[in-house]
Amino acid sequence: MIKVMSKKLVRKTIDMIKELAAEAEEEESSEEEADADGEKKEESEEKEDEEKSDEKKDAEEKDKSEEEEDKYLTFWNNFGKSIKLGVIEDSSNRLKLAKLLRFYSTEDPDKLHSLDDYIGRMKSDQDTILYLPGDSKSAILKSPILKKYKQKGYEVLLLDDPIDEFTTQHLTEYEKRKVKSIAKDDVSVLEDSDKNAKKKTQKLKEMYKPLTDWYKKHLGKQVEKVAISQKLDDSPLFIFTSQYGFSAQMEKINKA
Amino acid sequence: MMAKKSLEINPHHPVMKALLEKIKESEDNSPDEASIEYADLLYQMALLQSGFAIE
Repeated sequence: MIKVMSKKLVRKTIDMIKELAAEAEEEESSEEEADADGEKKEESEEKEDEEKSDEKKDAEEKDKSEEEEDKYLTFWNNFGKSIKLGVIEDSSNRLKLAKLLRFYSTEDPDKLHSLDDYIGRMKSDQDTILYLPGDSKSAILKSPILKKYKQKGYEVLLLDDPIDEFTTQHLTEYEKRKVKSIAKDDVSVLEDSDKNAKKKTQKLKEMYKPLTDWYKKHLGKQVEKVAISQKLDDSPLFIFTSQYGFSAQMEKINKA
Repeated sequence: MMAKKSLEINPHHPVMKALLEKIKESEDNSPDEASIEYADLLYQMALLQSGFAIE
């Protein structure tokens, strides 16, 4: 009984947030927080009622504020984590919450972008939402694999918060577009599909076979495989992670 | 649990071209000491750049 009630309450708050979101960006963010908070406390309806009134207050305050931009940012800074958690934990409201997510991107690294913004700027042949996780924004921007994507005009989201990667992994798909990390080895956006290019790659593969074989033997169990890459520009080599295994960031978190 | 690492080589990079030549020149497919050391260094550099910790 309580469960049913809490479910309904969560839905109501999200709907409310949606309405608010339509009005102004700042309000969006506040609504989002409320959603995530609501999800986490589904066990008790009382708590949700409290949250609900909190949200209402928040929304009213925001309406009054003139510096909408600043408020939105403060809101996201304070409650963004809750929304990210919501995407991970609440599968039934995942897509609704995903609309509220904001990330940095290569398009303008100083601003936060929504996933809808990103899709609006996507190239016509692009079917994947690309992201790159890392320790900090400046560290991600220095990553050697980012360069080629930038050159070819693909936008990449910069995930500088450790929780971000868990969020995107749970999201997996947004608006029918797959969400993938460019540090994984299964992203094929940069690969040429025409026959000539494929032949060239095949040739390079054979040419470099002595080197890849030797490197694999030399490194032994440290690496899963050694291959020829088309994703690098001016750096000699890079270590990608397998589609199903841990990523570099996750390994770090796991060790900590 | 460890991440499954997949090392990818840039075939257009001069360093990789040189390393390939070294291996081709050698008789038993293993380059000289200096090249091995260099290959190790490159691998560890790539580890750091890719966000891993050096062990």
